Amino acid sequence: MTVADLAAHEQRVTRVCFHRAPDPDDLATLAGTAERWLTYRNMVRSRFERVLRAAFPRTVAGLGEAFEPAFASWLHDAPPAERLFRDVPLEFHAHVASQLADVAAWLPDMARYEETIWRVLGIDDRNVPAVTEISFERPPVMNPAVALLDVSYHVHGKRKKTTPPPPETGLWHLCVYRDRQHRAATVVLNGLARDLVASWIDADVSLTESVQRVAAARGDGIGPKFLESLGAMLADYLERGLLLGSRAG
Amino acid sequence: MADEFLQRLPTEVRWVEVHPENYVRRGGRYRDILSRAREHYPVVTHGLTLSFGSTEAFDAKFLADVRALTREVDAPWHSDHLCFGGADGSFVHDLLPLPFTDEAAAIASTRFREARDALDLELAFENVSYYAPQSEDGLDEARFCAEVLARVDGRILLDVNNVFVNSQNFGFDPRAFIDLIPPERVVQMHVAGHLVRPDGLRIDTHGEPVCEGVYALLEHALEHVGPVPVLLERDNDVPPLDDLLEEVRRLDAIYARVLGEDAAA
Repeated sequence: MTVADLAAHEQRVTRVCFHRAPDPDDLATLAGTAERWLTYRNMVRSRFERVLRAAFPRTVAGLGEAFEPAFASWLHDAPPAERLFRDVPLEFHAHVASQLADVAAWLPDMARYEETIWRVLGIDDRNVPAVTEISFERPPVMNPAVALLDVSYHVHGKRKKTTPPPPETGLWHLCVYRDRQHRAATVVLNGLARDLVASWIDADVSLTESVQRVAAARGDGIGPKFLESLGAMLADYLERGLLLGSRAG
Repeated sequence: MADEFLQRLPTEVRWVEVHPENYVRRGGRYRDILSRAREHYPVVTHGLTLSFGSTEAFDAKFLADVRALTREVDAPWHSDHLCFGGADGSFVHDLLPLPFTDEAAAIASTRFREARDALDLELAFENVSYYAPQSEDGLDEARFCAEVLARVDGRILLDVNNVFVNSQNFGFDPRAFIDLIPPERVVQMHVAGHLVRPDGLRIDTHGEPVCEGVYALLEHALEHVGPVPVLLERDNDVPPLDDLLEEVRRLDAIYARVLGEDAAA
């Protein structure tokens, strides 16, 4: 056996695991019975299916009978190329996202929402800048485990995993973040809050300046009512751990 | 389970093992658990994706991440598997067996040395379970492991359950396998439970209690190797913590019986 032979062997076994239907020639070439190699195929595919059902419970339920062909197509056409197993659901989503609307109009939003939750749960938050008490004179520091998402279907409500969202459409600005107990939480934002939070992620200007810029861009005046709402919003976000404070130093 | 474990801090457990793939580039719950574990237990790292038998190049960024984690937790050594895990840049996320050939040993040896240099740390490979024959004689796997050990002047993490599973699936004497492994090369052992399918094939699930055959083989392995750390692996169908601690106490009793009370303490 040469190095090329070994590489061919590894490619053959990988094809048995990933191809839509294992190639009889591959199975015949591998040592031992086909049944034993198909055991690997079943174990590998079962593991992937389990993690997808864990990451995308409502998307998979929404796909229904369409899940199996989507799953098979993903493994055959775009098999996992990420080393970290937790990235497998993200790869699956990238592959199937464009096909979801063919099954149900709300499925793309559902999948994006579940993908965002999965991603936020793992965001690395070890490089947060030093934080001090919130100040309008310093840049705000957001929880790094946060993501903003706009959806057209109400996919973010608490429902049974197999229940589709209501048929009404609209526009919801969602802020998904990891709370202090390491759980995913979702806040529905209005347009102003969405723009403010977007400006505070990786902010390099003071809180005052960021608010002035956002208000100007939106054509909003900064009056007493605006400031009162802003104060309540800051207090709420600090309480949730969504906003950590202001950058120190 | 992790939260209960870290609240109770059972004294039966003296150290823990973590998969770097679960912790690198990640925050949240996993990082919190690791941080709390480190306050009370020594941590050893055990990887899943270095795949010493792969014919593809290492991912330098990932090696750097593993190195950083081993430094962070002050790991005394790192281990991964003598296997391959995919081809053409794809990952099956399983531990696939290598043919027990000279070429595979040469490739695995080269990659092992490359990884050890990158990590700059004692490195061990683990023998894997497999379900399709890689040679006509099951003991060829032991000779294959010994060949790689000799080529790299390295260490092995001897998985006793894997030896037992393979011996039952391919009909060889697991004690003879153990005896072919140079004892001074063994840095650590694993024991675990496995599934016996209705057709008799044993699958290394880490989802069952440790069976009597594995306990008996551990006794033989400890007699052959001497005092090295032994880890109980359980990844699936995790039972109540007290059930696992009962298994740990049984391992301790074997350890003490074979090596003396002082070794187990």
